[in-house]
Amino acid sequence: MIRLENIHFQYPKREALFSDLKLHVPRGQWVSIVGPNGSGKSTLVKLVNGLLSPDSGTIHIDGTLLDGESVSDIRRRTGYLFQNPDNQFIATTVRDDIAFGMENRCVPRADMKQRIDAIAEQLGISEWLNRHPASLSGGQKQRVAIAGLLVLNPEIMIWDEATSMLDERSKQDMLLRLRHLHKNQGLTILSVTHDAEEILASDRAVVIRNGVIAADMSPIQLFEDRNLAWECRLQPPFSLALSLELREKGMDIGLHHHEEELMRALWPSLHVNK
Amino acid sequence: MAIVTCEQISYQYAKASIHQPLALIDVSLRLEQGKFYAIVGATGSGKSTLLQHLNGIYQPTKGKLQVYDVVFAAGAKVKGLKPLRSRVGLVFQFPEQQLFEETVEKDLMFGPIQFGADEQQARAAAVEALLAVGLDEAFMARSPFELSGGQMRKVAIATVLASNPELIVLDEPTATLDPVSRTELIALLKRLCVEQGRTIVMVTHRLDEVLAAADEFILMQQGAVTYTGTRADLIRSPHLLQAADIVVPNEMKLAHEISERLGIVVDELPSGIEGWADWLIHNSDAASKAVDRYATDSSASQQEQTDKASPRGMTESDEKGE
Ligand SMILES: Nc1ncnc2c1ncn2[C@@H]1O[C@H](COP(=O)(O)OP(=O)(O)OP(=O)(O)O)[C@@H](O)[C@H]1O
Ligand SMILES: [Mg+2]
Repeated sequence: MIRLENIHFQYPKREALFSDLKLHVPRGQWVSIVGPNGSGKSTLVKLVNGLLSPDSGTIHIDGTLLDGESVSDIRRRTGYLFQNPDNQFIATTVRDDIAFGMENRCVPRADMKQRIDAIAEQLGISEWLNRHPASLSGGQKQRVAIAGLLVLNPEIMIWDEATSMLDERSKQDMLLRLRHLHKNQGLTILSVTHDAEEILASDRAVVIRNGVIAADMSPIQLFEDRNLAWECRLQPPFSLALSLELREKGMDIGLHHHEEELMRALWPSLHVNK
Repeated sequence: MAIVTCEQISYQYAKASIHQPLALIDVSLRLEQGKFYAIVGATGSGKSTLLQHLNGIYQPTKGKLQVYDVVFAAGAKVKGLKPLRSRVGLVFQFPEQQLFEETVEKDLMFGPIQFGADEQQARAAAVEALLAVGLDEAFMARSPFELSGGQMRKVAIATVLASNPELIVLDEPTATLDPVSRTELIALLKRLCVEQGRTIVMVTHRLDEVLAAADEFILMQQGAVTYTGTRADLIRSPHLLQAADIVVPNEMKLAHEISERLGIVVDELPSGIEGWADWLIHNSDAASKAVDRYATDSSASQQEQTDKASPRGMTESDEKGE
């Protein structure tokens, strides 16, 4: 579905960031792009969406070579969310902004209102539809941006830290929605994220470090390898981190991803040693 | 000593439509010097609006607010806030709001010079702040707008640190930081608090990341402050979080459950991964053998453990600007 070959990329007057980068993402896969700040994650997804062009190398989306000619067509089929939601908005009301994206993709006018209302209802943004995007809080902006993207039913979704300012509850909500879309509609997802839960929900973790793919494995493998995770500046979620720490200190109760499991494993041996 | 006192302040955005509720409703708070405050609340609950009151960007539409020696009373616009702003540093939610110069160096020196430092002092403060957030000196010459999201965030935080404010207010400073940088930033803020008596007010939606560091927790919901109190109080009352629509972190669930099941007061429970692991090993029979083994291991390996336990300080981070 997404195929990057021999990618070389360099920002003007900077050292080369990518030299000979290669990445294949099959249709329907959910890939988390992870790694330290400044490692090249945003640059990578901007290349995939044609916001930046490689100095050399090729990018194919669903068999089509990404170039000046195909870029607008490819962008219509992919949904892209910026790291900063302020870069996303064009119109002066949330409703118009969502509509704008649909116009771009030639959604019939008659369907628009109904589709906007439906997605707004689902994502709990109905009461903000008439507000100026700039007047929304950071997390609200992100929810609106996500709604504007989901309403377009893209085949490929590219998120650059699209949930970074959501409160935990809204984030879990979005994650559930993403899982659902991925499972039922076979959506291909490329998501830059630092969120452990999101990484664990995905099929594959690709770690970028200093412009190089430093690891490419299942998310669980990545988190369970403490040294690798640390080098990639990742931290496992609390329950897993605690079970790993206990194992390292000689108390192996297995590796647990959920607090309930951890508690069940701990409970039999627990008593108060004064 | 209270450095901030809010007495029933409310705030309405000037351009807000009539359907839009007040951004702040009757907020009363007292902040003491030298403490680390964490403000948590759902998206849009008024956290950013409250923070921007602390250096007078917004002034209350109702009620009274005092920050150090400056009093903001509804209806009387206070001007000439430079002296206050030299004492209260605010890190905005979006770093782009904070940066405007053509180089990182100029942005970092701007604050110190504004507040009376000479060129040389300002440059020294700039470098120190940059290193404190884990970026090396090579970033000084870069354009702040040609950085990655996380790097830009770190520079924005450094611009505030460079002016050495007494009260440091941060709006979701960890949002785009990688997880290790997040831990390092919180450790840095904690140090500023404990070692230098600075006051920290930080907004986050990840309660877990501040659970061990913060002294006081402030919950916000729909423009109102619904709770202020310590970590122990918060653990004892998870319903408060649920009411404010905040997900209870796993660490708190564990603490709550262990406290209930074993009848231990939460104040005696540990915090952080290391703390929990040691506590659990100490308080479990399955581990008594392991504990023995652990204890008889050379003290060198214990040292290694603790080294590993405390991530390298932000100052030793290896992020290169070149
Ligand atoms: N417009 C630009 N001009 C020059 N250099 C840039 C530009 N944008 C990013 N860089 C540099 O390229 C490198 C990779 O940046 P990128 O934004 O891809 O990182 P990232 O992995 O997304 O980081 P973060 O987690 O902080 O968002 C960094 O060293 C950054 O400083
Ligand atoms: Mg990025």
